[in-house]
Amino acid sequence: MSEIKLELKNISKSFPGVKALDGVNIALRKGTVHAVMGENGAGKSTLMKIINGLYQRDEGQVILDGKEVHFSGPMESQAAGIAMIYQELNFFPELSIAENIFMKRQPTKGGHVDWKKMMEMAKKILDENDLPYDPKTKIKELPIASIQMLEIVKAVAFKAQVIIMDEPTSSISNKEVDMLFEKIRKLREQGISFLYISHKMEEIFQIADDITIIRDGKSIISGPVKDFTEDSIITHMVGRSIDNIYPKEEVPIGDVVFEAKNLCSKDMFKNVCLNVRKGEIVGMAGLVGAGRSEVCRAIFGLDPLDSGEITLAGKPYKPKDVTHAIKNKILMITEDRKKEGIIGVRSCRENITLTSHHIEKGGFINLKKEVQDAQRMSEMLKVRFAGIETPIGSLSGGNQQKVLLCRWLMLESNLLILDEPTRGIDVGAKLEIYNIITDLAKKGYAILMISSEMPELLGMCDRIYVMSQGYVTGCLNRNEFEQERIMQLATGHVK
Amino acid sequence: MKAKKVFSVLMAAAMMAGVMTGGTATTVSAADTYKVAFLPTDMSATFASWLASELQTAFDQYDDMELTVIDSKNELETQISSLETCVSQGYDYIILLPLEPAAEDDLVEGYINDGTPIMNINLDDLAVEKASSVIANPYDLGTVVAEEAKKNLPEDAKVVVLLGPSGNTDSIERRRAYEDVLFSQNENITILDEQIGDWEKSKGMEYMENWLQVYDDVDAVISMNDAMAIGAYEAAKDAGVADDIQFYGVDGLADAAVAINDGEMNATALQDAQVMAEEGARIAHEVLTGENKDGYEKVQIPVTLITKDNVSEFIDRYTENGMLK
Amino acid sequence: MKSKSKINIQKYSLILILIAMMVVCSFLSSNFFTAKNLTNILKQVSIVTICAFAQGMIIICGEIDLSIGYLAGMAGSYACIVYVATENLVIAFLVGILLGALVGAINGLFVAYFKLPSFIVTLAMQTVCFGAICLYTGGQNIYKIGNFKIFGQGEVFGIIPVTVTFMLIMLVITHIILKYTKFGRYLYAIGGNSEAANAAGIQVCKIKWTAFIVSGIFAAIAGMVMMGRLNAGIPSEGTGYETDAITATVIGGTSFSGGAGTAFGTLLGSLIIGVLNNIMNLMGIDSYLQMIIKGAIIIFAVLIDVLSKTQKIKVKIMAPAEGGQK
Repeated sequence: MSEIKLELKNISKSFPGVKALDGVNIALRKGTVHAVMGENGAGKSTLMKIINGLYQRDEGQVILDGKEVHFSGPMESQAAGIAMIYQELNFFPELSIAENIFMKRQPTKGGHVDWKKMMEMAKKILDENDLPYDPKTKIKELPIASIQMLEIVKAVAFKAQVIIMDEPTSSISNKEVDMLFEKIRKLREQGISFLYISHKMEEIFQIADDITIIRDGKSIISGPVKDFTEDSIITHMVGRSIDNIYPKEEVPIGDVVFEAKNLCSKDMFKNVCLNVRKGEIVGMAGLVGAGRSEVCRAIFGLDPLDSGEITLAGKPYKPKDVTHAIKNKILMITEDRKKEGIIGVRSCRENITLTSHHIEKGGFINLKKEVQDAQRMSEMLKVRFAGIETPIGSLSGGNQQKVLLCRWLMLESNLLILDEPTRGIDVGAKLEIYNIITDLAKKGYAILMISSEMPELLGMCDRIYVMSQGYVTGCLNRNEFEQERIMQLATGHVK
Repeated sequence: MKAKKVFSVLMAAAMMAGVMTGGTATTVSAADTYKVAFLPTDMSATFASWLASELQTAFDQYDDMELTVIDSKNELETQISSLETCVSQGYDYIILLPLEPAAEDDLVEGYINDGTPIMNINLDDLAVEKASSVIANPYDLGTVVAEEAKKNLPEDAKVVVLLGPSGNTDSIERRRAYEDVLFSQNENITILDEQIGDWEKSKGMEYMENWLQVYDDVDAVISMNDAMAIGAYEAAKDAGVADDIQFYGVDGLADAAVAINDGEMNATALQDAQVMAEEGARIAHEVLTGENKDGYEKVQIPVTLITKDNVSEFIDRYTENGMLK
Repeated sequence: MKSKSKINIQKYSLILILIAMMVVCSFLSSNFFTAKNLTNILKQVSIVTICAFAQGMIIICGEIDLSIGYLAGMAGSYACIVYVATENLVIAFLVGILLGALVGAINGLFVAYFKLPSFIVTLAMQTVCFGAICLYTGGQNIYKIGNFKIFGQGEVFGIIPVTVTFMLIMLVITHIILKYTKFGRYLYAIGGNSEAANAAGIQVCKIKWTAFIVSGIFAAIAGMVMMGRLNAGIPSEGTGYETDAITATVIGGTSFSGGAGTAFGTLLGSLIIGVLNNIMNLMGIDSYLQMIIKGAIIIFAVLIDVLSKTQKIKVKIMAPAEGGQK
């Protein structure tokens, strides 16, 4: 066994209300690729941020080359030879390759940037790595894979000994993945160590030497990759019993109100078929980027839909825009509450009644009725605030979500889509949201719910569609629910 | 992205088309006529557009000269580049109504030395010896009105003064004339207040409304242009005191002529664009035909005082040339 | 309760500032607190206030309209021309309004549907408007507008000056639009968060387009009142009203980033500037000093705007943090 390059011992980190990491241990051997695996929200990203100094750990040790280190920020960790390559690459699209490589490290001459020298150095780095670009090329003109390669090259050029990669293959083609892996293997031979975060099972077996699995902020198991099988990895990733916090009730399920056939959108999803019945809560499971949100947004008219047929309450429906969707009683709570949900500076009252038409007549609002309705609705959903005139931006996430639910509950609904309805909401408020969802199902709402929290789907849904890489890879009824099975479908293993 | 590009290309094409049609419309000329360019300050300004039309009329009297008007849109940069263009386009003569005489004289001198005769019209003279000039001095304009005011106002008159934009040559010179002729000559005269009204009628009105609250008797409004004087009159009329107050302006254009005719204003002074244009056309012709051996001539146009006595003459003129509809 | 009382203080603070200013002014000049002078102040602010109502609605929905002043000059002058030709006030008024709506519709088309920045579009529209009027008048002003002056001179019922009456009517209309109509609600929502507004089914493009048309109509009305008051059609007189209008709205509590602002706030902002101008004239303060004082007041007002906003943001950041990480 080769020497340990970087060791994480018993790392813990809490955020207000949430324990993100709870005793994580990882030992990265020199010259190996170490895969870190876990579900969405298992704590992988937090862990990476602790290693490179963006977050400070509450407990535990980070040991580099046998010595404990404390980084106050990425600049320090970089100086110590740790490079981080983010999922969302950070570069300056309008600047040249050379400028991006030497950002903050420009060679200088008499106090100003030595452009000539910088270009020469950049050219040398590019040539050594077989990247056929002029260092003056603007970054935005390169394909994503080349930028990624550049990030790696840049890290190595500045003497990185440990490279952390967060989902590096999420946006590049298979051929480019092969190139990337080749590069990683080469660097591994030179003694560089990689921490490699990924969801994709097949990649792990191709490239990784060791695996650590993280679940709920804890490291569950570590070992050489040959000791694992896909099934055992999945079991470890999801292996827990479903907490019985879900107020699921059996509701009589009615006719199909919403049926979609062969929905397609270029690059996003293909041939998606799904249906939702009255009183039914239908879940959509899958990994980040599987295309679940895109399908729902297309149905709601927020994103483009290229082809496919939708039948809504027995009539054909063609998404046009959100106004049209609402008119057809399709409602959706979007994933990013702050960006596409709340009007932060306006009052809860206005946020609640934004789309309700029954309080107006000929364009004029009946203020008295508006206040009454907003009051009644927010009481019904138990929104906690100083009053309906409070700006919604000042409420907690859970209460914001409730206000947004109030908005849609003012309207009639054929289909209610909830995209990550409990994201960023603390446990108590989550439970309240689940209660509301259950109530709605009882009232006969047809609900389509996207969630990245598996237990939530298992606990709340009557049926779950699983998507992977833009395809629906399976549909499970409640009696078939099984985390391992869903995980297999979600990782695209079963076609 | 693509739509954006297509759009901007279309825009650019439309602009090119506009420039080309607009630019060539008035410059078709026969080979044996002299091409003369007039570069006014701003064709949306009353005086400049009047002068342009008078020049056009004056040039129509000559068969062998043809006038093109190129607007500077109140931008020095535009005027200078138009000047350059005219020289390189081979215009035979250039008449300049300068925006900033001090900034343009070097340029003008250079072009004259290179062989393009240039005339300065309207304002102060350029500091260029060989440039022709037809000027009506702003100081003289102030002087004639100030003398009229001196004649009409009581010894111990109380007046308010309205100025043009800060730093404006016309305003400064006219105000200096008032100082020399009226204020410094008579110690008993009181200037109640003096404010910058930016040549705007609404500002004249607003200031006057406020002044009438503070000062019980104002004998006269001394304004450096007519618009502000007329604005002040509107305010005084509204307050019912217009008849007790005299109003003096400068510029002498249609609005002032009407106001004097109606007994609203007392006097104004005119730099007569018609006379200037006639003189300008004459000098240009003499220089171009070689009749003028020096290649330049400098004339100063006498300014005209307009009062109730002679206003009807101007009303007729302005009605005739279309400035008064 | 905390946030509610905070808003109220902010709302009343403007009235308090105005009252305090008026008390101080009364001491500074005995001519200040007279019926005639106060009426004058109202008269003097009324045109710019009408422009400010328009500007306020546009800023609330997150855009800006720099064409207001030139449009007022253009539409007002054309209305004069039409009146001189037809001797019919109604036709003249309607033509003015139509022109305003037309220019507003063009602004709105490019801003809402072609997604061009409103700053650029309306800036360009300034010269288009000015050119469009000079093309006809040849740079000459329109004199002898006869009865057209009733749009800006004289009194209604013998006491309220016509200009002030127009301002009050526009105040009521703006207030109703902003407070009691769906359209007004949508303006706030779009300015507050246009993506969220879109995701809530608001037709953002259509509403913005309509907002520019309304702004154009308001500007045209301001222009006609202005020409009436001046008793002449002077295209260049509208110049600069757009920036004065911005100042008034911002002092009046309209947030530059959109989503907040009221008609009464705008009126108060406008009155504060009006009182300031008035007292400086009554006291005979030097022109140059006046410029400095006015500029300082504007910076002060924007400072208050920014400060009150950063405090709001603090509240916002805290809220999601308690929900933990993503």
